[in-house]
Amino acid sequence: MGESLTQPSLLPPQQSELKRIAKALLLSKTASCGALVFALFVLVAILAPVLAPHDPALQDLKRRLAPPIGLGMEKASPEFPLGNDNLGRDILSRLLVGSRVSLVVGICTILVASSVGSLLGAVSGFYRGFLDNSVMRLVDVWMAFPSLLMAIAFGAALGPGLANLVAALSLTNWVVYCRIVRAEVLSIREKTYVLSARAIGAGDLRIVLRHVLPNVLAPILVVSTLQMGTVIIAEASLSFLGIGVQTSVPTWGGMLSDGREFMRQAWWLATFPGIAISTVVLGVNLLGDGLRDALDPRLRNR
Amino acid sequence: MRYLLRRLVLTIPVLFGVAAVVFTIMHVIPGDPVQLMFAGTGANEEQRQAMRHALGLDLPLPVQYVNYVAKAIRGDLGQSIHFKQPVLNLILERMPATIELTLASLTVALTVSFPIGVISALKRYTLIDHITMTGATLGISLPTFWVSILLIMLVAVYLGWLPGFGRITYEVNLQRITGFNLIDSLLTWNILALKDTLAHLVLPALALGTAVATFTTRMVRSSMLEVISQDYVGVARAKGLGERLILTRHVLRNALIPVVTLIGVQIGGLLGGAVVTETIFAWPGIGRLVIQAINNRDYLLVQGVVIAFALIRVAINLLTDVLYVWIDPRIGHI
Repeated sequence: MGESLTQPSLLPPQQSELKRIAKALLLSKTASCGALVFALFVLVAILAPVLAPHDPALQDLKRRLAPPIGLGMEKASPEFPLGNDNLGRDILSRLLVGSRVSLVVGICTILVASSVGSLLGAVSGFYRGFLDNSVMRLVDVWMAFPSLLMAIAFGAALGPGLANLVAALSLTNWVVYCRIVRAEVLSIREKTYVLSARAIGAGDLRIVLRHVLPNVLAPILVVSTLQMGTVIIAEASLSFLGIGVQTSVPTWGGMLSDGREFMRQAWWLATFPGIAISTVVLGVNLLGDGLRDALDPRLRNR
Repeated sequence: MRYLLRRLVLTIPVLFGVAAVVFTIMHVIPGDPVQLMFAGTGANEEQRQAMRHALGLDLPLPVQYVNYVAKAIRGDLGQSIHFKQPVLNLILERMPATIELTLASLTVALTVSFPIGVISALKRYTLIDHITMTGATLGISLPTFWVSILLIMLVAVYLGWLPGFGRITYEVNLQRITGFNLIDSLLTWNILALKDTLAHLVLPALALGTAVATFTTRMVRSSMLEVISQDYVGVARAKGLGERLILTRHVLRNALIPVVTLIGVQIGGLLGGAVVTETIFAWPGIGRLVIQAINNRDYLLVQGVVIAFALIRVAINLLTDVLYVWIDPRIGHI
C-alpha cells in the first residue's frame, strides 16, 4: 500500500514552481524584453570599471561643462562622448559606474525587504491570533506614512553609506510583502494539502517552508520586480537630496543634483542620468508586468 | 455612519504608533539639537545641560514620548529650533500651499487620464490603445523629480514661458486670508495675483500630475473593460438602450469604484512625492519644510510635519471610504 505513494509515475507530472516561472518569462514578449534590458544594466554594473573610458573621479577643469558630441557644439570631444560635468569629470564614465549603486541598492533592498516581509507575513497569516494582530497594527502604522518620506527619515537617521541606504529602504518596503504574503497564506493554510501534510505529521516549520512559501513564490516575484523600480527611484531621490551614499561615490541621483544646479549652462548634466534611471526602471516594470500577466492573472491591472 | 465611527476610532492607535515611530527615528538621528541651538553662542556645558533639562531632553525616552503625545493632543507640538516658532503654526502656514499643489496635480491627472482611459478601453487593441498603454508604462518609469527638472529646464529656463520656482512672484502682493492663493486672489479680486499663481502652479502640477495620470489611465481602462463584459451591460444593450446611455449610466459609474480607491492611494503618493517636488520647485509647502527640518536637525519640526502627513493620509483613506458608499450604495449596508 505504501507503493503508490513512492511511485511518482502514478501522480500527475509535477512542475517545479521555478520552472513554471522561467517558462512564463520566456513566453511573454514584454517580460523577456524587460529582462533583457535589466540584464544589460546588471552586466554594465559588473563591468563598469572595465567599460568606463576614464576615471569617474578624475577632474579636468579645462573641460568643465563641455558638451556631448554630435550636436556641433564647440569643446565637444569624441574622447568624452556624453560631455563633462561641473568639475570636468567624464559623464559617460560616471553614468556607467553610477549604475552600481542603483542596482546594488535595488537588488539588496528587494532581497532584505522580501525575506523579512514575507517571513513576517507568512508567520502572522499562519498562526493568526495575537501575533497576527500585532503585526497588522504595525503594518497599519507603516501604511500611514508616505513611503518616500519614511525612507528619507530613516536615511537621515541611519546616516550615509550603502548598507544604511539598503537598511533605510528595506525598513520602508517590507510592508508590501508582509500584506501580500499574509493574505495568500490565510487562504493557503485552509487548503487540503496543508491538512494532509499535517495529517502525516509534518511540523509547522516544515509546512511553512515546504508547502506554504513555495506557493506564494509567484506573487512575491511579481511584486519584487515591480518594487525594484520604485526602490531604484527612491534611491535616486535620496541621493538627489544628499541622503544617500557618500557624495564621493558617483550615483545617478547625485549626478542629477549637480545637473540641477547647472541647468542654465549645461542641460546634458541633468539629462543623461535621468535617461539611465528611466530605462532601467522601464526594464524592470516591463518584466514585472509580463510576469504578472503570465503567472498571476488575478493580480492583473492592480 | 456606525461604520465610519468605527473607522475613526481605529485610526487613533495608528496615529499614536506613527508618533512613536517618528519619535524613535528622530532620537536615533546623530546630532544634538541643543548643540545646534547654541551653535556660535559660546554657551558652556552647564548652560547646555540647563537647556536640556528645561526641554525635558534628559528624561528617559518613553517619558519624553508620553510628554510629547500629551502635549500634542492639546495642539502643542513644541517649538521649532531653527525657525523659533511653534511647530503647529509653521505647519498650518505651509499646509495650504501643499494642498493647493496636490489638488492641482490631481486635476491635471484626472482630466488627462479619464478620457484617455475610457477611449482606450472602448477602442481596445487598436493603435490608439497601444499608444496610450505604451505611454502609460513609459510614464510610470519616469522619476517625478527628473520630470520636474526637465520641465524647469525646458519650459522655464530655455523657453522662458513659465516661472520654474516658487509659488508667487515676490513683487506681487496678495493679502493672506485662507492661505490658498487661488482662493485669496479671487476673494480680493486680484487678477494679477491670480494669473501669477496659476503660472507658478502649472509646472509642479504637471510634474506631479504625470505620475498619477499614468496609474489612473491604466486603472480606468482595465476597470472599464471589466465592467463592459458584465451581464448587466449586455442586458442594457439588449433592451435597446443607446450606447451613450449605457456608457454613462451603467459602465462609468461601476467602473469608478476601483478607480476611487486608486486615487485615494495616489494622493498619499502625491504627498510623498511632494517632498522632492516641492524642494525642486522651491514650493513653500510642508514637503519642503520637512526636508529643511531634517537638514537642520530640527527634530520637533520633523516630528510634527511627519505626523501631519500621516494625519492627512488617514483622513484621505477615510474620505475614500465615504466616497465608496456614495458611488455604490450597496456597500453601505454591509
